[in-house]
Amino acid sequence: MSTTEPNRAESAVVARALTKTYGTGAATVHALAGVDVAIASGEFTAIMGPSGSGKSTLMHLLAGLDEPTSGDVWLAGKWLSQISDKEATLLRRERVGFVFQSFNLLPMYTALQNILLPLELAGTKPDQDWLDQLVALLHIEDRLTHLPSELSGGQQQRVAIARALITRPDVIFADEPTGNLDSRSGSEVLSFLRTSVRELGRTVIMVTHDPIAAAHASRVLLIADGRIAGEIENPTPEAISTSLDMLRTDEVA
Amino acid sequence: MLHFTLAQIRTSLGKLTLAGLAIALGTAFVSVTLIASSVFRAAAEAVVTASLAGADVIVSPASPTDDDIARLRAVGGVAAVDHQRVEGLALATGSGNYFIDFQTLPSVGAKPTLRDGRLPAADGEVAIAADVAQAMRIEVGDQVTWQSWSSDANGRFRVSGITESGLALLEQPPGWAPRETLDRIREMQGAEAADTDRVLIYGDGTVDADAMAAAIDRAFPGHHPQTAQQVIDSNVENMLGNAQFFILLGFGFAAVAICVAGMVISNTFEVLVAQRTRVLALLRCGGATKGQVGRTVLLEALLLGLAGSIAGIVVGLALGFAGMAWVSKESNGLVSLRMLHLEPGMFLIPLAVGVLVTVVSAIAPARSATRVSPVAALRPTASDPLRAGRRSRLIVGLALAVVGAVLLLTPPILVVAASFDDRSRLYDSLGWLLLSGIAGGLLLVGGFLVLSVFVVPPIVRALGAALAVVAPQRSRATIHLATANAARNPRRIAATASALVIGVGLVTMMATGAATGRASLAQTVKDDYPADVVVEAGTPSGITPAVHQAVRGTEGVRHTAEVWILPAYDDKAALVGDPAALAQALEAPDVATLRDGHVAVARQGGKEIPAEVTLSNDDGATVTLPTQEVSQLPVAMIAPKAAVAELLRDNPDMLIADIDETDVEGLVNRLTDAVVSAGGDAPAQVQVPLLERMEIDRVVNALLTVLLVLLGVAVVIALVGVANTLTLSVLERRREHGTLRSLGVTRGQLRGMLAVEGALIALGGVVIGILLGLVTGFAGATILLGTTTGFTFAIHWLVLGGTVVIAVLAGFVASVAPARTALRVPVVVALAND
Repeated sequence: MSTTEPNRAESAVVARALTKTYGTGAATVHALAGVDVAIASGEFTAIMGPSGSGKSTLMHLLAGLDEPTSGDVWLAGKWLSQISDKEATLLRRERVGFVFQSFNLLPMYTALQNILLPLELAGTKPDQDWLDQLVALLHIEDRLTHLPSELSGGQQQRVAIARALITRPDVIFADEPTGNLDSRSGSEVLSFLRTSVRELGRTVIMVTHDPIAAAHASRVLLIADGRIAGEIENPTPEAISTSLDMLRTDEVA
Repeated sequence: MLHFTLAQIRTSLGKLTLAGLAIALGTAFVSVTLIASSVFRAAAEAVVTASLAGADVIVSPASPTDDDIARLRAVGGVAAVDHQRVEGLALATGSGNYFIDFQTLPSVGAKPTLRDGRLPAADGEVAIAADVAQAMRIEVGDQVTWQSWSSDANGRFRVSGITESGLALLEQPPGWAPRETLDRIREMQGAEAADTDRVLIYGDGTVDADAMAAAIDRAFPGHHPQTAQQVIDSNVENMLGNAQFFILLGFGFAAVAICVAGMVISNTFEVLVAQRTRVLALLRCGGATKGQVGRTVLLEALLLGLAGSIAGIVVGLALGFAGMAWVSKESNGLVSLRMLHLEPGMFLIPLAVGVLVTVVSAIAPARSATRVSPVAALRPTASDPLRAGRRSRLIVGLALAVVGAVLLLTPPILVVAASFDDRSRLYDSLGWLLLSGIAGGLLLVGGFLVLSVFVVPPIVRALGAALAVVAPQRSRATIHLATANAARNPRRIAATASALVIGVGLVTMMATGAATGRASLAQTVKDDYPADVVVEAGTPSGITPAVHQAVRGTEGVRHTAEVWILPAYDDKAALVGDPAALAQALEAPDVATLRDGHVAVARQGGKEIPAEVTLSNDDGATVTLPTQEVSQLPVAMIAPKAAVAELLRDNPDMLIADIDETDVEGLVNRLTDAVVSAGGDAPAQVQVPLLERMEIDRVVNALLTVLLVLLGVAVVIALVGVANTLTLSVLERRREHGTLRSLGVTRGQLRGMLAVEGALIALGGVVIGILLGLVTGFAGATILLGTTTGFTFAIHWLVLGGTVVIAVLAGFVASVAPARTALRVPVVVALAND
């Protein structure tokens, strides 16, 4: 198993020789075929790749939602292979935030109750200043008493971002956060995620297949066939599209 | 569409299983009730057959002379004649009298089976059945006192043997005595020959029973000889007639169970339809008509009803055979399993009821299915239908509930408010009061069912909030989530809880009625005999000092008091004695506060108590004393012995005693022995009102147990409904549970969340059920018993507490399987967009 401890100040998440296979024998599918990656702290990283490339699997493994077939993940100062399911759960509760494609707010809780849920689960009191700051930043002050069904998609996703940020997590994982939004709401959400990194000092890892969304990140990891296929620093949508096209050409060839 | 329905059933098999279980329990109940009458018939035949001792023709009732018997023997085909004496006698014990028919032993047919000792042979010996012996605490060799029904004649028997009780239905097994003993008792009674005997006639096998009966009728006119078969048939019909009430009661409870099952099924289909919205919409897109979509649901219900009913009938049959096996064992093989008489109705009726209820319950969900529009297939998964009830529903429900409450509560209020004298007039209109109460109760419950969508969620939320307050800080998030989840779908939780409300409401009502009846009867006994034990003098000279000494010296007697009775006014008598001793013996400490030279008087029915009371004795001497009101006086009046000494004879009329209640029956035996040996020829009589109260407890508890078992089925079905609702909710909330897990909800917390949700739903139903049950129970008990003097409203705390505990536990248990299902799904799979 991994011997050298990554530096927590530099790296938020580290993956070592990560593989994930489904099925056995002839039906074996290699979702991830050996991924080594380090995500820097305080950065906005996008993971991109065509459908079936393994990008969602990578994110699930990095976030400790699923167990790798081999390899290890270093998250928030712990090697996940060395901790129990319960410890991993508590680690997620305290050190990790999630933003989902379909928002995943609890329908019977108001916006405010949804935001405070991680703190309620931990049995801790909310930091009122931090809550006020988040709510103001995300422009949801007048929506706090509403149920999710009374909010637009963009509003729901902003509530979800507030929920992800409320515990001041080490890492926020965003899985296709703009996938169910119109383009205007989508770009709002993306700029909030970027603000979280720049102004609030968080680390964001976003899975997406949209080059325009990925262009909001400071670094883009390209994945194909379960392997890291490339990396773009300070990307533009054009540069991403070009790289993606190249990946697809590789596939055809 | 059959293929579609079958495919749907295959995918929903797990969800349908619990609904099927509900309908199976309901139909099993119907089936058992139908089969029970057949089992009862077989048992009745066995009992009657056994009592005939193998005779071919019976003349009964009869009082034949020896000449008659000789004439009977001469009839063609008669081999033997047994004149069986039957004499009803009371056997006295401390706890009351046992009335037993003593018979002579059959001279030809089979003798009764002995358990202990030997059959009576010498004059004065008897054998009694094991049940009776046990109840009377009698063993072989004991002496018992007998008392004639019709005269003052009495005497003693020696118990030589104890016979097996055999099967006894609705009557005491007989006792056995030698012929000379019964003949002697008849002489002592001095009455003309009793018409209670039987003549058992045995044929020699040359003539059949019908012909023999006809021949006997000619030789011996006017005595209606009957063949064994005729006796069996008519007696069995009689017994069945007596049992009819219980069978009807069984059907009543079966109806309740079936109704509750219907509610569970309706709920299940409502949820299934909601889950299948997408598939149903795709069907509609593909060209299915509304009718076809609705019919798939009804067809599914039909198949479920068939499967559930068949399972229920199989269970019912198994229980029927088990019952027969028991009867067969108890009757020593007189009844065989093959005698279980099965009729087509026993299968067809439960089947029809089960299928019909299932299909009818699915009609509303089927209508919901027809309302799914084809467009629904194209929309993302619909979120929870959070609609509550409509305004019209609220108005109708409130109207029903209010009218019901008024009709239900007016009669008991009238009864409670009525003055003592008005009560007898109220008693005359009891029928109307009862009708109003029953109608009111039904309307109130109906109103609740209509209003349940509005009523149940707030109550469950309140329970959850209360739980969160008392729970430790770290469980509050779980409880908060569970409460929100439980109350999020008003219609579903209302339907689930309502099923439980019906069952628990009936349990509470019955338990309240039973507790009130028991308390009222006990109060009546206490009013008549305020002491635990009363020893009444056997002779006019009163209780001798020797008897008093014997009573006081008996182990377990705590306090005794000498009591004289003097008439006062209004047919009331005063208890006279030493106030301090009476206070102890009556367990009424306030009696000791009686001032010298005063009469203690209880305030009754708001009547003014007289300023003074005149007491007199048989000789006409009188003493007038001022009165003093004493609270909690167990009798009408108590006078101090010192103030009325000149009216009293030396020996007291009776003794009253306060006893240690740990072994009442043993104490009564010791006390009776002591009094008998101290009393000589005319021993004092020991009466034990306490035993009477205990007997009332026993009978009421036995009845209540039967009722609770019957109603328990409905409660079990409703709890199955809770499990069902949780299972369906878990399947619906897969993605939510994934989200919660990713946000840091541990496996334990998720399990706890579902457990609390189950418990809250169950508790909500139980709380409402108990409230409704208490109101209806109070009203019913007050209407029926409120006019009696000893009426005391009581609540059966044990049953109520037990119901709450069972419901909470069942809620927890109901969550185990759903929680396992929820935790089996990997977080990433649960999170995936479907």
